[in-house]
Amino acid sequence: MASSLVKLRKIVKTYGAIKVLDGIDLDIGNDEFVVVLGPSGSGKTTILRMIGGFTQPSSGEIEFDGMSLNGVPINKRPFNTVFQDYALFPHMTVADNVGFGLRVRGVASAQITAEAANALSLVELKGFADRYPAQLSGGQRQRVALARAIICKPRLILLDEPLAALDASLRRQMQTFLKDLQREIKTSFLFITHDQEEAITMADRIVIVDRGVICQTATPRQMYYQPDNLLVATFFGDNNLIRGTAAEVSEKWVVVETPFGTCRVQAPETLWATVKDPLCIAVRPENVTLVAADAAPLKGRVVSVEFTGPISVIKVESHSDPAAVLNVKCLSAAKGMELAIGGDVGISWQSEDAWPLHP
Amino acid sequence: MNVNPDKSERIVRQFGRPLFYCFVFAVPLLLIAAPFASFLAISVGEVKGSDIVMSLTLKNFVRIVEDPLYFQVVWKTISLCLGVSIVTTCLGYPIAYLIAISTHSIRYALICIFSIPLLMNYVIKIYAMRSILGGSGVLNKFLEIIGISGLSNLFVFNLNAVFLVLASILLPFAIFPIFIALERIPNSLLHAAADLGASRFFTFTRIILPLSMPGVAVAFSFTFVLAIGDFITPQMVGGPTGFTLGRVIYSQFGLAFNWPFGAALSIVLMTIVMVTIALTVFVTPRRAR
Repeated sequence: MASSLVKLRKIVKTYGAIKVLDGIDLDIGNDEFVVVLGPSGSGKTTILRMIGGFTQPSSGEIEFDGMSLNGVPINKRPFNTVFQDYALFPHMTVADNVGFGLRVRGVASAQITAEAANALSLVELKGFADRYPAQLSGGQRQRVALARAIICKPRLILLDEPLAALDASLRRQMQTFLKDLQREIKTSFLFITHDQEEAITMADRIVIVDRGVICQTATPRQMYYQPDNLLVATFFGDNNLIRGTAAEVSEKWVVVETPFGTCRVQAPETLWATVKDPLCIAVRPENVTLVAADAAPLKGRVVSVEFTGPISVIKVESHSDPAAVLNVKCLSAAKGMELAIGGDVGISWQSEDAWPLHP
Repeated sequence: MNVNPDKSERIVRQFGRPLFYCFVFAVPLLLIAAPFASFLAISVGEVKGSDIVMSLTLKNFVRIVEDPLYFQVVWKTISLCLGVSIVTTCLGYPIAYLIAISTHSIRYALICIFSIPLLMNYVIKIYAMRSILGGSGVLNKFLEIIGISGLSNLFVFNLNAVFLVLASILLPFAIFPIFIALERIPNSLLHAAADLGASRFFTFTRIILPLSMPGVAVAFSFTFVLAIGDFITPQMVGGPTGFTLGRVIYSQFGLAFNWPFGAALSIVLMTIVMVTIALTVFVTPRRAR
């Protein structure tokens, strides 16, 4: 992110006594695909509505290219929105819907027709120009809404849960499509969703919002492997959270005593912990490998082995604390170890795959 | 009571449905089609002495077309009622728009204000209007005060009076269909238009107005149909010149005792009403319906 296109600073939104957003700071870069992820009621849509101008912040500043957007009306903002219900004009053809933004600007009608055709071919809807929205399927309406937004060449496109109404296979198709489109037209996207998988597959950067505050802003990879807190750690897929205490703290490493034994994990730049502080380590099940019991520093007892096709899930419990259970995912085809239920097993992971968290 | 629910349901389905449909269709058949048929029958009859003789003659209809007096009344009534519809629809639209864009208590207050006339007795409303429009009524007094005189006969016992009274009484019938049509336009469409850069005026002319056209059509045909069938208003404020189709029909039945001619005039009236409704349905853009 070289320079930011849109900046949100200390945005607060209250409805009566209810604080919907509480101090949101967010930067959206040029050509960046930002996904705002959060459960319903977290305030994520309010963020989008404020950038679009549909709601005004109670306090705080929204900037675009260094200029304040506070008080700028909806129709003067250089952004376009794809609404959750698509909001296509039912009395206009697809071509008229798509060309609306240009007609507003007084563009000549021959040029509008040409550009609308161009935008429709971008969203793979050639030949649909003369249809009415009621004659289209959900996915097609979605793409008309998209074409209508991109034709104005906005600096930022706001998408409010645009895929929520589509079925699973169409949704996956649209995810890839949107991502490719965004690369092609080189425009920033701000995409709102409550679907973690969607966020991880599409985003350049994910912003997790919960109860009106931002929990973490990071790339999908960082979010997945180096979460800021326990909430984020359990938000995407399975994760192992092992409780322990810090035994040694250095600039690069922390040595942690866990119920499975003592291990070394990488220390983040902002490590708060000192010796004897309680810690939590997050390790993804697929990053754990099982080794022979005698040589490994970490040990446990096999509780169950579950075959799920290409991957088997093995549960390993601690000798000292039966409440501490570790999930391990390994390829079912992996050879070299016969796991007997109740047998001892050694546990190992790369120290950079383990991540310390505040418990 | 151990009636098998499945069984009773089946009985209802077997016998209840046809019975239900019979009832549903019998009521309108009895109350609409039967009187209509009897009117058709009477309209081709004629009066001989003090009896109505059932013959198959078209002379009543021929009389309407050929007698300039009646033909003129038909045209005058149509143009009067078109005027009433245009005025009420044009006045009703901004009021409906105002109600639609206002929120909470203001909206309910406005709805109340404009629906109160609907709850009042028709005759009382006409009397109220008469006291406003009459020779020494509020309107003329006001005109006198501001120095305009000689107009005292302009608004009483003539077609102008009929026009004004009909327009004011029928206004709510124009407001509410338009209000409902405006209310049905999703907010997101207005947001989308603004989002694409449209000004309020552009949004109004390209989105709101076309999408509210069905309501405008309903308002227009509603007020037209109600105005053209009215005979009480012309009777009470029309005076000698304010003769309308409704009033003529009334006089044929009540005073002249020429039922066949009255029935023929009624058929003409009904045809005008039906053509109007069909036209508005036809004219309304299909996508906006």
